[in-house]
Amino acid sequence: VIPRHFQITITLLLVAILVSGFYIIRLTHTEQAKNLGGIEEKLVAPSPSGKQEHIQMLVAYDEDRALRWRDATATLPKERNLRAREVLRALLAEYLQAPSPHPLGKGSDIKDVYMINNETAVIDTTAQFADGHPSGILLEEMTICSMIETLSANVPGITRVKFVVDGQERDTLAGHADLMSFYQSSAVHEMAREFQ
Amino acid sequence: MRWNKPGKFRAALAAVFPLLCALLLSPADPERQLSVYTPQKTYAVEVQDRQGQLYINITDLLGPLGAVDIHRDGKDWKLRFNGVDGAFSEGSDSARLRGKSVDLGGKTLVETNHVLVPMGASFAIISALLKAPVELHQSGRRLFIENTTTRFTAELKKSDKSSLLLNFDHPVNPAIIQEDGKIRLTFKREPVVSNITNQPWDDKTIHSISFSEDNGAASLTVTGVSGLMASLSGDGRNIIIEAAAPTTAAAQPVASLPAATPPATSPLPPAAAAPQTPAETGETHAAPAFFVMIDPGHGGSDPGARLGDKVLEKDVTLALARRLKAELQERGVAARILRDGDTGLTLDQRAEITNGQHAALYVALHAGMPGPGVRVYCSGGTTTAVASGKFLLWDNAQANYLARSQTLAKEVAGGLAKRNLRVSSLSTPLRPLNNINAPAIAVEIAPGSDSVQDVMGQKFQTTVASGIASEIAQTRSRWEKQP
Repeated sequence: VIPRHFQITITLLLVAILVSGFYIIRLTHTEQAKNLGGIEEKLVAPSPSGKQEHIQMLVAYDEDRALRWRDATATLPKERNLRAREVLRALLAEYLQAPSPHPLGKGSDIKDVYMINNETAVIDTTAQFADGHPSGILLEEMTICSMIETLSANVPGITRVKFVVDGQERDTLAGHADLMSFYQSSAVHEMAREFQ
Repeated sequence: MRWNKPGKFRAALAAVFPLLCALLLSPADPERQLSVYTPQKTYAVEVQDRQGQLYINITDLLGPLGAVDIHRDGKDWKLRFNGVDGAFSEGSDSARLRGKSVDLGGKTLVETNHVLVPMGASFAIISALLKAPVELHQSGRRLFIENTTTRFTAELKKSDKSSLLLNFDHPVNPAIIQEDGKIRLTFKREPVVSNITNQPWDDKTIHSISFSEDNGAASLTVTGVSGLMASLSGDGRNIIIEAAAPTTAAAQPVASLPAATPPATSPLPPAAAAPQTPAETGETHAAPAFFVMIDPGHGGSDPGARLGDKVLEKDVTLALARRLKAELQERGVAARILRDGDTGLTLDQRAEITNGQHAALYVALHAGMPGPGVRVYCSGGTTTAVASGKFLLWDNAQANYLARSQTLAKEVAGGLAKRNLRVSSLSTPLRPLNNINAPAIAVEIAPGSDSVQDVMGQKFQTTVASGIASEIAQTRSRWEKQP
């Protein structure tokens, strides 16, 4: 006959093993899902403090192959470069939600916006923004137009825009849209009108 | 005697430094591989050098052919492949497969739990395990299982401007490299074999053809006059090699070309091989004729967009490019394809080739979502050309032609709309349109999400290609009439 206290101990041990096994399996699955999703734990700049403001975003709608203006609110600091970054982040947040009107890859974000001579903005995106962007002329063009028009509408005075990816120049966004050249805001404005 | 140590150190450094530089700057050894051809698939196995002998990983060799399990069992490594047993022993020159001893021609190696066997043994191992006919071309590193081969015939059509017709018994899609007086077709995935190694001809245009095998690929090299071009037809079974441009057309101004001028690079139709009038032959160094450069987007390691699960943009654009070339030539408009195979080109290379050959028109082909429909683009640049001395700026080379590009884009869009396609015409910052020194447009075909396979279909591609070709032919006629 097995003593009662021995039976209780064995039962508790078995329960503990099962619980820890279940916990380990869940942890493993979470890590695998992170890796598969290409989530890279890279630091991007934190959201700065500022006041809540109304902004206008030119949002891409893939299904309709159209760009449409939408009102939104965002916390915007006074500094122009930080303001530019937050405006673009608000736009990307729109694309990263589910369901998205214009899906982007996980981890797409704006690392920084550098202002040169108050007229030229250099947008530095995360690598995931370009790596995970769907390939296609129209889709890439809609992203570029949407970002530059949104930037121009909310940070007046920007006339030229260039994109870099993770601090480096890149030929194209996802095989099509040119990322080497500087974009003239006026030319992009004309391009965007073709979608409206 | 007393050593001058710093002096000796410098001398040693001076001797070693060039050696190190030479080592660092010497081109990397291309990755060695063994290509395996079966009736179902073609795959490559990495080949490794171990003390002067070439080895392959047994799992890499057998994995694509079926279920492989190999594990250590005492001193031996037990193999189970598609229900057949075998055993390898580290350091042994032979293996036991299906209960019989098989000579490997070299020692079995084991590295980090991987069993490596001499590459030459692949023939004996596969023969024993599959009990199927196997042929190994050891110097070319190519293994053919179950008589999987593609053979071809080469027929020289002699005339004032001879052409060479290569007829393959299966469709092929080689990488094509053009050099001065030489054109090389490299078959990486196709089991192309030949009994001939070199065939010379006494001909002014085509001098010889030679066949070689190296590092898992076969190559056909055709030598001849400068500017040989290759064009594929017959669903990839025929390749015609001929001199590039007709020289008379080239020597005349485009405006004086009659509308029915024979195409510069006529494809297969028999009429194209007929002898041409003396007026159509001449110096090959004259200025090029009016021809359209067709640029199938992406290629090589760049697949472009993925359309559904199976269709790659690079395949769609190449198929459409071939169709467009045929449609243009039917209308008497000469055309060339920038990459007539699965070859990778940078965007700058595409512009350099187009500008260097003085194309009269440039058409880039793309495919992407969302659809359905067709989108026709021209450059979104400015119309003000910026020059630096005698040279145009690379990023602004399109400026002088932008108005013509915009007109052409609208006309092509209009022509496609007449064929009941949903068409839009847009401007875009698409490379390399800005770098092209000629009227340039891009056409993106877009399937519906529920009909992705349609973009590879003959009906859809012919509709699009004929629409583009028809408008280009009309545009050329109009330009010729302009003073």
